[in-house]
Amino acid sequence: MMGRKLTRTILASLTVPAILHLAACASGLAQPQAGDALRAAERWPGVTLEQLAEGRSLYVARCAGCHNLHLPERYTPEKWLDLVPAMAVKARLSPGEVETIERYLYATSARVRDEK
Amino acid sequence: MKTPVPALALNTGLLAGALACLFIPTEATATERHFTYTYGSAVLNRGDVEVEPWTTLRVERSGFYARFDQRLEVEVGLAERLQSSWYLNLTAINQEIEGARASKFEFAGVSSEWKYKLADPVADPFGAALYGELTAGPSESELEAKLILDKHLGALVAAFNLTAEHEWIYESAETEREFVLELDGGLACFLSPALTAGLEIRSHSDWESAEGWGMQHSALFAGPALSYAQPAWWAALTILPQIAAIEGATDGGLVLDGHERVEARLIFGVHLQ
Ligand code: HEC
Repeated sequence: MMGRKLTRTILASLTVPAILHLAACASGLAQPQAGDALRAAERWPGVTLEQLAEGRSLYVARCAGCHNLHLPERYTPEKWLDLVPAMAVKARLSPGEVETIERYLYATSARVRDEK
Repeated sequence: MKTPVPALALNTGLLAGALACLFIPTEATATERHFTYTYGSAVLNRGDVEVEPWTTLRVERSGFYARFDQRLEVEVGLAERLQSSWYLNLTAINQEIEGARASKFEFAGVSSEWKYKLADPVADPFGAALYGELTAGPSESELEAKLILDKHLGALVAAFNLTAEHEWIYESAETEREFVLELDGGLACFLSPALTAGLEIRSHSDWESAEGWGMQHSALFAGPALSYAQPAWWAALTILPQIAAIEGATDGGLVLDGHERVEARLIFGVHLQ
């Protein structure tokens, strides 16, 4: 009986951090914020928060057909500027759509990485 | 008192494995299916086409029984969120009937499937999709509706489906009707960007018009699920032994008239464009 109790305690002590981790991850794909628009505007002058939000929607709509979406913070902002054009043919994106998605991924990757 | 050591060890192992998955980094590239009975919510992009040959092997009922179900599916992304598929279905059965072996090979009809994605498993709290399928064949027709839920967290993939099915079975004298309820679920972990391993569970229950709509069989299946993906193709395999009868047990606590002792399914997906 002792063994069982011990196992339960070990399981419980593993489960709690796992659930916390799950809860933290469940927030999922970052929503763009006002600061992200400022950051993106340094590279693409005049970019608005609405345009970043449009980038998020386009990313979800066009980049989840073959593989799971990759979270923005998985790659550096600069890396996204290589990755999105590399996937543009697969996702049949126009040059305008490439830029819309890039701006969202670039700005939120930078912020979420800074926060971590 | 008996201590269920193997069960506890198994549970501990499974839980530890699932926990480890949460912390493995994943690339999650080119993944279509990780399970073969349970669907995920993903749909192809508009204009994308995929061909999927399906093979299902079902063996051993109360007597000798071996059955091959072969389906050839073509999937097309029609619009943002909407995908349609068409299938050709073939069935070969070898069976012992009253002491003699008989074999049957038949064209089991064509199916049309429609899938609409509601939410994404990464971007939203849960992925979700609605699915409808119509099958018309010489010996039976079928209408199927499915609710698909899934979630991707770290290297962990979880999916759950609720399926309701209405079948018309053309017997020689009359048409019988059958209602089927299926609950399917799967949990898998990316071991590498290309490979997932996990567990799939399936329960299948049916009610027949000929028996005054009483529940005839209800069986539970569970077993390992593997999937492997490359940029242009992927494959998924599940082996599902029947583990319990909920209703209609015939031999040793299993349903072996309406179901088989083991089912195994292999699906290939080839991305055409
Ligand atoms: C038609 C299928 C398809 C679509 C649509 C698609 N991808 Fe991919 N993606 C792939 C495949 C296949 C790979 C893995 C092999 C490769 O890198 O080419 C991949 C890999 C990736 C990777 C990992 C690359 C690495 O080096 O780690 C990222 C990031 C990515 N895709 C982003 C995107 C984005 C952003 C979009 C939308 C613009 C997108 N994908 C749309 C098929 C697709």
